Amino acid sequence: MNTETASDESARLNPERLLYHIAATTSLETGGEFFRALIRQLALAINVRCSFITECLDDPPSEVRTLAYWDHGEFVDNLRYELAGTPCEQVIQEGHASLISEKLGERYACERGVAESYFGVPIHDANRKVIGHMAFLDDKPLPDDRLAHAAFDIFAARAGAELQRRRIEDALKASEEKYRLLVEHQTDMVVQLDAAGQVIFANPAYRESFANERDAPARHAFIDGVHLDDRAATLGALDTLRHPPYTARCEHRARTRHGWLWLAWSLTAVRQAAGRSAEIIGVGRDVTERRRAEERTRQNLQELAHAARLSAMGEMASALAHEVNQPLTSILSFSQACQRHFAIEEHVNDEVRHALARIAANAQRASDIIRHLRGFVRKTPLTRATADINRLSAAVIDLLEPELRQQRIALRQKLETPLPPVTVDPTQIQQVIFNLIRNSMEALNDDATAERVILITTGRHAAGQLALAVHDTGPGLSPHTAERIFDPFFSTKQDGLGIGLAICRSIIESHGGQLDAVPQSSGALFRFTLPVMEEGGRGET
Amino acid sequence: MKHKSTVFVVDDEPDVRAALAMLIKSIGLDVECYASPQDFLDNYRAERPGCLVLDVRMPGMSGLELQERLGAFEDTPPIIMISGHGEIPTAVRAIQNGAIDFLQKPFSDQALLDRVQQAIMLDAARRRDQQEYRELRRRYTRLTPREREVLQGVVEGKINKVIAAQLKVSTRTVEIHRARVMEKMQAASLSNLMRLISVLNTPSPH
Repeated sequence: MNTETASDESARLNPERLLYHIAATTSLETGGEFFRALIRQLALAINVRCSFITECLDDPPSEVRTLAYWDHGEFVDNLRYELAGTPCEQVIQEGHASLISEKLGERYACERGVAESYFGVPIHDANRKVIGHMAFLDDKPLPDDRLAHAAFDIFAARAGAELQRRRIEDALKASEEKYRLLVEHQTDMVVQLDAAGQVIFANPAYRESFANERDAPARHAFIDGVHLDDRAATLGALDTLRHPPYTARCEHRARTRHGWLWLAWSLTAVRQAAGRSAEIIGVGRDVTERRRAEERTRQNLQELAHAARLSAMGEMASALAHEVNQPLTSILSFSQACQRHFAIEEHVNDEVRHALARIAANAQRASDIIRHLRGFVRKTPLTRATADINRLSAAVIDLLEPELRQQRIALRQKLETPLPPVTVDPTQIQQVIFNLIRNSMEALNDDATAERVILITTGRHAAGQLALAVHDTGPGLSPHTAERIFDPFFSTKQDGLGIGLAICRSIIESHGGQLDAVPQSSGALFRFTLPVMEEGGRGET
Repeated sequence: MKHKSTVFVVDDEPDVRAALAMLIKSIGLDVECYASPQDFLDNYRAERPGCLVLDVRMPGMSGLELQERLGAFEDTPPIIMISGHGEIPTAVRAIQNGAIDFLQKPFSDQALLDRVQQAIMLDAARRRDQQEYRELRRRYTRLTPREREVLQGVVEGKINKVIAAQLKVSTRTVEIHRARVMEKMQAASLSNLMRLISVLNTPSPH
């Protein structure tokens, strides 16, 4: 070692200069370049042959990997090695600097050639946890006074910060990648809108549906593809995003490559520091199938309601016919009797005879009109099919399920299975069940405090009969109401026609059963019976 | 015939009863009106000839129920059902239970009067048959066992000689029995006797 070197050494050992120098040469570097610069500068500064920096690969550390390795005046390949049996083990496991000034070879065998001395400094993260280290090796003894420990600690801290930053960056990258994969590959549509409602980003699912160029979706207003009838609702949803909780949902029809589809959107405003809504993230899903199913349910309900109306008309026409036919019978028969009476009396004038003939003819005409009306509404022939009452009831419950859910009514069932089959007109019996459940639902809605439960019970009744009962937890029937509830044109409802239960009873009776309101201590219970199909079936009489 | 035929009208509507009564009287028949099936049953006497014009739907007992109750009696009058409803199943049941027709209200005078006359003739014929049957039955019971044996042989178309051989008596004896049978049964000829016996062998017309 010559004097020049020695004077160099003394210069290098000045902590302030060292700091200044190294800080100047590494401050602009980040990442891998920072580590290389640091290691090289430090090796030169303290005049050692070899220096490297590592990061721990596991926890607790048993293996490390070098991030930069400087040896004999140049960078060499990075390597990973196990700590056990190396001087680094002590540095990393004990977490403080370690100096072996001489005769290193006697204590450790080094892979990269024999060295005389070793100096190691741990690198900590913000929580004082060791995440790596810096190490220096030389072929000559390394006196303690050559090392400015404080300076190394500072560089170790800087390296630690860099290492942490790198790790966070990696994690962020991984998470971004994961997020990107999610957005790119999910079947839901994801769009990002600017404050003006322009689409500024769209995932492939959206682009595919709206047939834009794959990579560069043309900027367009989100509202453009939306059905005219649904635009107001959609714009309304976008508008609510300006206020807490800054989220909104909407459903609309949109013109896509696959035709008009129903899309359900969940929208969130991404607010900026000022609190002003800047961008909107929307996640959309094709709900066309669900909407179609709802539509079908609505149609079924409408059909059933239509059938109910027709049946009500038929029943009314029938009742009307009977009521009107009685007086018509008197009119017709009286007038015809008079005609017969006067036929033999010469003195009766022709005008009177004519009048009697007209009375008879008009009575006949009135009767024909009524007969025609009845024939018209009774066009659908009576059908009879073998049916399971449990299944008929299940179909009705399916229909009412959305309403029950919406009105938060619990529907419970106590069904006897299997039940012997009945021979009925399935539509008519379903209509009766439908009406009974509907009545119960209305009773529950009239009574806000009630526990909202409807219980459907089926089972064998008297010999050869089945029964279905609908019991609700509503206010029940007053004795006066119970007495008259089956009378036509009696109703407890403000806008009720009062023929529902009368018709239900008439339907059940035409099937050979009975419909009654069974007195209860609480709530109302309506029960109908039906005769069980006899062995070998029975002719219609 | 002891009684004149009467048309019994059962309907809960007073004006309908009155109109039908007037109509039926116009062809010279007697009419009696009842406001309910129970009312009719309380006054019912089987020996009175006639027919029933019966409304189906009435409060309390329905026309069909009355029809079924009357079915339990021996001499049920013919029934014409009338209804403002005219449901087919009801009509079928009424006819199955023996109603002679089912008229939907309102009906023409001719349709009702035709049915009423038909029903009364039916009732008269039935009563005549029944009377004849009872009379023949009475005559038959006056025959001695031997005379009945001879009658049996005659009905089977056997000649006197064969009957005599079967009964192990003389042909002459058979001839005497046979003459008694003809006398007691009030038969004018062999063919007349055969007809009377066939009436007797037919089950009683209810």
